[in-house]
Amino acid sequence: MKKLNAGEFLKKYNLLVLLLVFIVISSVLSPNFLKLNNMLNMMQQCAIPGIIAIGMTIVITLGGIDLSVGGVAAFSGMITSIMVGNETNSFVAVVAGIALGGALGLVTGVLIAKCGLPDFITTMAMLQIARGASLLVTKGSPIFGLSESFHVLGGGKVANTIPIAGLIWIGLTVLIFLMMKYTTFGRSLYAIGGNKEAAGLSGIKVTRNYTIAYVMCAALAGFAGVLTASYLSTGQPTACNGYELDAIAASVIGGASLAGGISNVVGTFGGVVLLQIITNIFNLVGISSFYQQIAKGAIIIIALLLNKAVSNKKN
Amino acid sequence: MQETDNILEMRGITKAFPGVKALDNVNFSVKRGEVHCLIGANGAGKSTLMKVLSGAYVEDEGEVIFDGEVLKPHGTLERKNKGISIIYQELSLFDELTVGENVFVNAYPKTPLGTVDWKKVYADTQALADKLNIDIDVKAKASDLNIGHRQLTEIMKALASDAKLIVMDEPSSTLSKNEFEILKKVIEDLNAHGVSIIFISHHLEELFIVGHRVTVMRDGKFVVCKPTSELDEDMLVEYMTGAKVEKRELSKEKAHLTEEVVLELEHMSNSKVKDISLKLHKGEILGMYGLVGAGRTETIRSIFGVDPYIDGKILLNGQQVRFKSPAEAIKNKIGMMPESRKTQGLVLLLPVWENITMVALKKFLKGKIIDYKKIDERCNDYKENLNIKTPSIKTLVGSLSGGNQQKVIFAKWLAQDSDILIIDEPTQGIDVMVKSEIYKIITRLAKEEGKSVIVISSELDELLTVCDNIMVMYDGKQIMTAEKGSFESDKILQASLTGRNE
Amino acid sequence: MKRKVVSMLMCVALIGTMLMGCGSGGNEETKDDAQTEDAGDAKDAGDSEGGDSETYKIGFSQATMASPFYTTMADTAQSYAEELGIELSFADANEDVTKQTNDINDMIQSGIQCLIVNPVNSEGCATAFAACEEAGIPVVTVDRLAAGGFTAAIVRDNEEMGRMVGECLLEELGGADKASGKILEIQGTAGDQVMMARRDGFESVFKDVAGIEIVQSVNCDYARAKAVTATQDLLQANDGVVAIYGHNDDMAVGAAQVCAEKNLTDVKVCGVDGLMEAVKMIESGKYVCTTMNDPATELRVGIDTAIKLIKGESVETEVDAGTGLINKDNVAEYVGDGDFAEMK
Repeated sequence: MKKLNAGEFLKKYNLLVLLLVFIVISSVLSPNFLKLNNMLNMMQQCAIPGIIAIGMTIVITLGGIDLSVGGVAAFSGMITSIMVGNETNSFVAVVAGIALGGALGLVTGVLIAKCGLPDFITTMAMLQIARGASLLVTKGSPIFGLSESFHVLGGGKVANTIPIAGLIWIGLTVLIFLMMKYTTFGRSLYAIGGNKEAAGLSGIKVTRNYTIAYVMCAALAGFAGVLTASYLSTGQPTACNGYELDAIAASVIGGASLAGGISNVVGTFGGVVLLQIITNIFNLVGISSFYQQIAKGAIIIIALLLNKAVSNKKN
Repeated sequence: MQETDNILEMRGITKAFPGVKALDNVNFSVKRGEVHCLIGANGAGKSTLMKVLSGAYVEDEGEVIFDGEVLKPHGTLERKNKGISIIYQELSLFDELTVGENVFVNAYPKTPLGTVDWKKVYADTQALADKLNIDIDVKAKASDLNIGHRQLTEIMKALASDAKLIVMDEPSSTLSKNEFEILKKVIEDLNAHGVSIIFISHHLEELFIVGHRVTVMRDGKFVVCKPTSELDEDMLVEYMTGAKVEKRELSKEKAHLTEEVVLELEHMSNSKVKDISLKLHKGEILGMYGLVGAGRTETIRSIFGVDPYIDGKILLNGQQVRFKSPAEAIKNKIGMMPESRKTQGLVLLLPVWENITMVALKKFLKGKIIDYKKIDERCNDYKENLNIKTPSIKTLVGSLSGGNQQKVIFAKWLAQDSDILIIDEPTQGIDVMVKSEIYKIITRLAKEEGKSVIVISSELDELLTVCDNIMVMYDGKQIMTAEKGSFESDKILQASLTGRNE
Repeated sequence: MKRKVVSMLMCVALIGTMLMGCGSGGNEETKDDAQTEDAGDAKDAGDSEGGDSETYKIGFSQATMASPFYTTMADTAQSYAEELGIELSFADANEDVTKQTNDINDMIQSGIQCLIVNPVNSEGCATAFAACEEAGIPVVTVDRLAAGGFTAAIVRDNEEMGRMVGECLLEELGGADKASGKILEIQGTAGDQVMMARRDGFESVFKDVAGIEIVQSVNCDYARAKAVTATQDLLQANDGVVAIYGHNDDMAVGAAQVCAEKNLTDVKVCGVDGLMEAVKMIESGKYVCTTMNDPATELRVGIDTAIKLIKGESVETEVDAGTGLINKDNVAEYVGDGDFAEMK
């Protein structure tokens, strides 16, 4: 193991340093921050945006973007809620929600990878479609009276302490991290994101992998939507509004480059935590939520500046 | 006596790049109202000379005198304002703008209110078109024009900025016969209006149609300047190749090739090349020579499944194949190292190891899981064997020198272990030391490991050194194939320059 | 390179200071509060019966801040809490059920003793309310209603409001015998309980008035822009319009603007909410009447109720925040600077 001096350490683990700084500041500001209960509370809160951000990171690795995740999550959540409301087996309903997300991702992926439509507008259109569809299925009203057993997935706790959704989020982070690092598919995403033409000439199936990435992103979003419905015990057509932007922010804070080819699922995890800490500490201290947005924006910029300092060093 | 008659004089121009003297004491002059042709083989220094003229490069020695004034190196815009206009081979029109907008895009006429005077834009464009007898819709979008009209729009654009000297770089390479006729008339009109033209072309016969005088360059040096009336094609080729003066000593030894044909093209045609036939034997190194744009890369793109072929056959080990993607070609043990290292060959922001394993990653799996230990070992082996100069295999490939980047690409295909390897411009922009290393790798692959290799190069010397057979292409067609032992560099050059095989 | 790192650090420090700066006010307060609380605890052996000197900690989770109605609520919460010496945690859910749930969970962690909440929608807070119940924190809803899980709801009788406006308007039109013509009803959000109550209350007045026909608009979601378009369309389609009733004043004011543009000065406009803009129009005779639905009073009642709950006093499940009619006779009392006319 090489020894790192302070500067190098800061560069390599800039997000970690930023997180630590915030944890220290937060624990000074509020004695409640570091309490176990609050940590578990945050784990629950991070889970849903965290799972969406994982999917976003996959797509960003390719040099793509998916603005539809919020809408897809809402639509999947609604469909699953309707099924649970109709006393379909919870497991089947959950799988259906995820599959619906995947199917929407397949459409997006094919439109972008095969038909060559621009990702930004295509996914924005898909956002409209999914959001509209989730309002349409019940004419805009939420679904309620979902079963207790369904609530366990998103709102349940292991040993009455550790939120199941949080564990799922951590599990998925590890799983996708391993996929990105240890599978040919994962590595191909980095190659495609870095240089699509070179990747294609190296025998990587660009179109196919591109599509799969969008399917995965949307399926994860769908799953997050199902978890939202489960956590809240209600299907909300307006759920997860604006989550795409938080997911992009978390990915980028975590070190992903929107130009593609660079990303880090564990970094994204840290990005989600960082963004959540800001909301949490503001609520704990009781500062107006208007400051939250300003602080969030400022954090994103700081994280980007730190990332840039790192990449400058690399060049 | 004729000094005052010259619009342009370039005297004693010398320009060196690290390792190469691109221009060596070149003299070049153009008279008012003259069409002066500038010719030479690939790398003769024509482009460099024109870049010095345009101000894109600054000469090391010598001076540029334009319209009686010594030009200081103040960049391209100043030269443009003085009246030097260059029309590059890749035209630089804005597709979404109209002809009129393109013509005046650098200096729109204004109304007294300071807004663009659109009436004047189109009236002036129409006037220019009339002056040159061009039949063109001045309000048509550039993207809707055919290539000939695009070229004419460029010429009008040059005239709109009061060009006194227009450089046309390969204007005819993409033109049809009819379009060339129109271009010829426009050039005559331009001459009549006192505009001088430098005409660069690989098509020698065209020089005799449009040109008044010809300057020939070879290896960065001025060779000769004569009126076209005193020249013929054979003389030009001789000047360009310098065959009489420096005939290379070539090995007379025949290549020993097996009978086993691994790849065969039978009258293969695609959208860019016509009727290509070739046989690649096991262990053979086949060269493809020709001018830039002669269709070499276009031929192999069809072999590798990048572009479809529309006629004829491609046979792999006797079986007809039609690959829909590089992935399929690779699966059938064909590899290709593309022309552009940085944009096609490598992912610059990924580390060396990742680029090396990009094609053959499946060979580094333990089950379904990537075995990083194996990657580490193999990549370090390649680093050592190919002498890749990099601090570590984790270094980003973008930070390596061109030669080492090329070696990484070699490692990438060595890792895949294809039977057929196609190498497009293996040594472009690489220094001499590394070049010879790369030749050794290519030779070892074919002669020791029994691979079959196709090498595309614009450097004939390179092909003469490594190849068993050399196929020459010209204008999308196959002109001749020379065999080792009976290579004649002047013949090959001549075929590549004229498209004739004698 | 070094310079860059330093500047990065500066940035971090800056933001940190900003956070600290924002926090410091609250923080000092917290410290003071903590001291008083400690003192209180020592004296009163810790429980809630200890009188007014104790500092209570209340959370207010607001559904949205997207209209003056809601910002007034938030402002009142802050100012009234200050007045009473209560520590208040405030969060805006931005119409997002998940965010509201997260906000409430954060507030529980910060140690609130009672939660005041304007739920994003009636079903969305079940999980958050369950968490409150688990933590032993009473829940008081304001404005919008929750399906269940709350301790007390501050409500208003929207049907009564509609009825009061209807009766006032009927009088203006000459009473049940003389009134005739069409009344345009600019509707709020589809399926919304408030909208239905305001509709039913208003229409009950005219049920037996033979000369009056009520024409309902499309749903305009309480938004003025939509109401303007709807009014324009309805005025095109209907002759003999004598009055316009909006399910809130914002929409009704929009309708009044349309009438003014078309020179229909005889059309009588009325609404609900006591929007100050409408109140001022009553003063100048361009508007008939409105009923008070002021968010400030509602929030004050909410905080009072919360304190009662913390003290362990019993409260009704439904606490009426009251209302009252404003028309030309009493308008002078209500004209003021706020966005809404406040109950006296």
